[in-house]
Amino acid sequence: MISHPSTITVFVHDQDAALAFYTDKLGFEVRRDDPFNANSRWLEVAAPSAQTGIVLDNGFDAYDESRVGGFGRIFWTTDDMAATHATLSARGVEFSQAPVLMPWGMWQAQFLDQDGNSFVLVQQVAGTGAAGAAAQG
Amino acid sequence: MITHVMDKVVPVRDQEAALAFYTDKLGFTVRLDAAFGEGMRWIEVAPPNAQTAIVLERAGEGESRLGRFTGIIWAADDIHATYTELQGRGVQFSEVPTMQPWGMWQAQFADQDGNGYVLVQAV
Repeated sequence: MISHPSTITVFVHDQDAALAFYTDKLGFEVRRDDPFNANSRWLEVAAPSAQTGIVLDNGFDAYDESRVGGFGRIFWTTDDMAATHATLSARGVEFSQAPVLMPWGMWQAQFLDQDGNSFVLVQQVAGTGAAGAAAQG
Repeated sequence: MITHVMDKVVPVRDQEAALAFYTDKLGFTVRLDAAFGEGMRWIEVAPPNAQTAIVLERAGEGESRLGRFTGIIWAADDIHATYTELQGRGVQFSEVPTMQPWGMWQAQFADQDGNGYVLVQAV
């Protein structure tokens, strides 16, 4: 059976710049950095204990310049929104939305990577989150 | 700190059809199915023990991501058994399990809307 997402792709313009951002600013670890094809290497990073990694792609079959930037359609989670927002901001990560408590009981913020790929960051609040959202319905 | 990816959004034409595909054919579980905003529905599905889920979002008019590679590579514990099982349930594979030069088994399949996925098994 399918066990979990191994990786999710994020399209980037420059793998070296992306590597610097995801490791130095977000604090991710490098899981793989291997030659792949003439255009791109297989560059995989992840939050330190995460099951699913991120492939920073700028030249595989599905690569398309127009898919760089914009909403990356990835929701990251954090154990402490206020601390993460403070830490990442201090490292120069640009937040397009500061942390706000959403009506469904989760903290949410939005930030951008070095190429303008936009991500949502959330923190579940005990006793809300999924249950809170369901109650909204 | 950032701990992990909670969700990745996948656009679908029809949320009901997508829900049926991901649960009945792929064997995923529903983590959340709730009304969300004006007439919207937030559906989150995932393999039973996965940390990261996908959100089946109703695609807007002219959604360019629909029916393309989703950017998601799934892991299987046994790619051959998984391929046989999913194919038996009617999942369309565009690549049968093939050993790649970098030492991983790989297959490719699509969902009910042609959204493409890679499936791998590390050796």
